[in-house]
Amino acid sequence: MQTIFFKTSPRILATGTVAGPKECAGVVGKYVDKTLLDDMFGEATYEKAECKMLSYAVSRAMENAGVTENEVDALISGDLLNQIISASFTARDFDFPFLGVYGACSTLAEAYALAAALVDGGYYQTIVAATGSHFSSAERQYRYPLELGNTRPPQSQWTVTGAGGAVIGGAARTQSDLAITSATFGRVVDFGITDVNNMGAAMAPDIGIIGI
Amino acid sequence: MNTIFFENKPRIIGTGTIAGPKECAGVIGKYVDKTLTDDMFGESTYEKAECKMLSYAITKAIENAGMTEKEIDLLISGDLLNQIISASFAARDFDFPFLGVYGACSTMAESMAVAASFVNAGYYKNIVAATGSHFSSAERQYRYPLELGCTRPPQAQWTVTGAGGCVIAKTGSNIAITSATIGKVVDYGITDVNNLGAAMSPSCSSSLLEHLKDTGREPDYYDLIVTGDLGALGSRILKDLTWEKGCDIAKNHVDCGEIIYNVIEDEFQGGSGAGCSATVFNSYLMDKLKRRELNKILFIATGALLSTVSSGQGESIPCISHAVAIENV
Repeated sequence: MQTIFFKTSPRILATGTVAGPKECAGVVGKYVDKTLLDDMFGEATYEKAECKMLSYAVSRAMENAGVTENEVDALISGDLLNQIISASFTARDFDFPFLGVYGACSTLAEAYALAAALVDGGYYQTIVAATGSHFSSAERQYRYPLELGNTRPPQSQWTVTGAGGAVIGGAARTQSDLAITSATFGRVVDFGITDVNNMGAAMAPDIGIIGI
Repeated sequence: MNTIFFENKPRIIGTGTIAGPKECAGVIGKYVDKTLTDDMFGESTYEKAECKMLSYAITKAIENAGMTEKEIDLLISGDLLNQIISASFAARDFDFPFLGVYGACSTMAESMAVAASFVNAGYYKNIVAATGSHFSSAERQYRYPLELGCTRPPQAQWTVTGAGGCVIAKTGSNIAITSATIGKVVDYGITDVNNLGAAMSPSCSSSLLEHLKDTGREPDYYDLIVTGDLGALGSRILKDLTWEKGCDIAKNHVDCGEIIYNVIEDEFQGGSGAGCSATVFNSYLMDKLKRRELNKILFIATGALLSTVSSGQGESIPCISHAVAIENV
């Protein structure tokens, strides 16, 4: 069986989110903790901005959950950049253990599932699971310099500039009714799509689902 | 407390290893399942060779565990390449779920720790933890084209061409994973990308000391404290850092990177890469455990979490080490 069940119902205590102006002009705008006015967040490079956003999401989730750094048992995170540097450098900002994961855009579900399992398994009481991305750092790494002004085909997507995370806690923390009840880790599925601009078609055959 | 304990003692029931000619000329040569005669494994690119080795290690571990693919519940794997393509494309070869992890050269320990925690808690019965690396794909991605013939400074390491994996299950052997200490990211400000031994030692010291504190053990509880790839210099720094905190590991510490290669000349510090600890542990050390020549090992794989971009933007090198205690029961 691919699905694992979390009998003790680990809770999502609180979340922390930050996003860029384009993102906040849309539906998440009135829900995020912080709206950025530009894509740089005061940093000199896209990668540093991305990292700062992820670090913010982690701190904010902890603050919203009312947990201090001492009370957090682990951070589970990853991101799209080579060697998941946003997650690793974010982890450097904090004094708790770090488990790096990589699932490309499936990372949040993977991190939540792993966090829920480690809490439900009784190993840890409080885990932060987070991830993020940045339009410009993704374009730089995966595609072309923005200055080239390449046109995008209709099947392409726009990488979100934003980060989000949650504090996942043991069932003793009854301040939240929102529980993670099960998780299904996915298999790698490849229907032979080679068009890197058509990720929707590439990813559709296989989706990982977590039950909340 | 960063250490997690596995009361149900999940077992390592089978391993699979493969390595290149240079690696097999050294100590692991007679312990690995397959010795390659060149670095390409019949493939046309370094990356495809690396992926094929990892896939082989997984298949062989399952076979040596006496199992079939159907009985495996999960694969936990990662590697050094961007987007962990070796692990992801290896996972594509199999019909079980995949959990991608990234810890640079600490990946073997990270994978084992997560696998053990899942099996111990009863979520899954049989999990494969595996990783690998390839000298040429690592050079291509992290450093310079080989054809340039750049000279290597004396503090540099040589990425191992090899892959190793193990099947972790509820029962089936006497070799148990009893606890794991997940590391914190530690950065002492080293910026020299050729001196990863120095960069990683502080994180190794941190995890080792944390493990000993959490378990209430002295270093001599273990027959061997094995680190992943600190190399010769990094090992000396580790001994100093732990000595400063009143912990003496001089008698029983060994580093996979230091022992893997036969001739220490161009390799300078010795081996590195996720495949270094993976091949040494899953072949040589597992053999010693099976024969009870060693009974208690603390396996600490060490990783440097930099990228070419982070260094290019002036960052120092944050590192992480994960410790896994493996004992004959």
